[in-house]
Amino acid sequence: MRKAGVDRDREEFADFYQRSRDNCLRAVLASTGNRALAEDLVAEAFARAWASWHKVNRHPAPAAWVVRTALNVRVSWWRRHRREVALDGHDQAEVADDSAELHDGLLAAVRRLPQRQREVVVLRIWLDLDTNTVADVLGISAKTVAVHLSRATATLRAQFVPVASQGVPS
Amino acid sequence: MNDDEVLDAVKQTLSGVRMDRPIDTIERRGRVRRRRRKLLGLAAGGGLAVLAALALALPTATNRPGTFPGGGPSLSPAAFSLVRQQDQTVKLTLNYEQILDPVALEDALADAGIPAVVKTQALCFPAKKELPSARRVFRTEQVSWPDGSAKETALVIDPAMMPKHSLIYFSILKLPPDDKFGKVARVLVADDDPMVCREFRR
Repeated sequence: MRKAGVDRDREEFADFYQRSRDNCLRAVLASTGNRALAEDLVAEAFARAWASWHKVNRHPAPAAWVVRTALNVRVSWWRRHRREVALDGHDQAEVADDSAELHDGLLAAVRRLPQRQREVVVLRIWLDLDTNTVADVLGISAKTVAVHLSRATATLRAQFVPVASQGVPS
Repeated sequence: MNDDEVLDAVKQTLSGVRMDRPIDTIERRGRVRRRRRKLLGLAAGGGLAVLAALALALPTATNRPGTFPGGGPSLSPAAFSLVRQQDQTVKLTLNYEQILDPVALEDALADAGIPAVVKTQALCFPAKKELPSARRVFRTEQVSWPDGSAKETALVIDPAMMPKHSLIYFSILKLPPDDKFGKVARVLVADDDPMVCREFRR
């Protein structure tokens, strides 16, 4: 009986992982700009989701739980790494250079957004969450989500236009 | 461009990114976290409170005290120290990193008049309850290190207070290398009490 429950949990988690892993990685990558780091963070967050699957499974948006966990892990990782770097006498700029790998103006603009706007954009764009679910996940009102999204979109549009115009023949 | 077109354009920038980490590695890591969480929860008093068992935190540092305050002749070497004290109690200090031979500790305890079963990498608890006299049998003491900078907890056992036909079950767990502490749990039970053991693998 217990084994059947474990097997069912594994199936559910495997299905969740297959469906959400790419979008979770994209969401975290958009926030960090470093592919290898993003993949490690997402893997760790999924592992934590599996470790607490009974809780995460009941979350209104489990993929959002994974993304937020990954980004929280990143904060811990950064703090730990910063200490290690200081002890080793290495240059911290090596870690801080998030934009070197992507070379993409749009993604750089996403990372420059204020934190709340960035969270709304990431959850909305890559996890396809509606306004109410984003509000639930972030613990803010739906109206506030709409305001953040509107401001973020305006910022991104301003960034996007010159990029788009580069490919338009005069 | 309307808002949807802007957001869609941003989304397309990462459309080729794929997560290719095998689920096996994710699940394995998750299981390790789950086991560690349970273990730490138990050691923190959650589960072991039910068992009335005590978890001792043993620092992983390598320097160890050579002698114990009020100590007598050492009955056994490095992996553990077992010292009979003047009041006939027996002080046990474990270096869990070196506990590779549980039988050696069982034999040493038996020589000191303490019937015991030692399990490594398994947490054992009685199917019934720990004997109520446990609180008279065990007490913990802190051990001063030579430089005075760290403390270690030692278990003092009074064999005279152990009821007839009782024994001590020790569970010695070594956590992953990045953990600072190993865990030792002990419980006083009747020697015919059924025990439930859960194995922990690294």
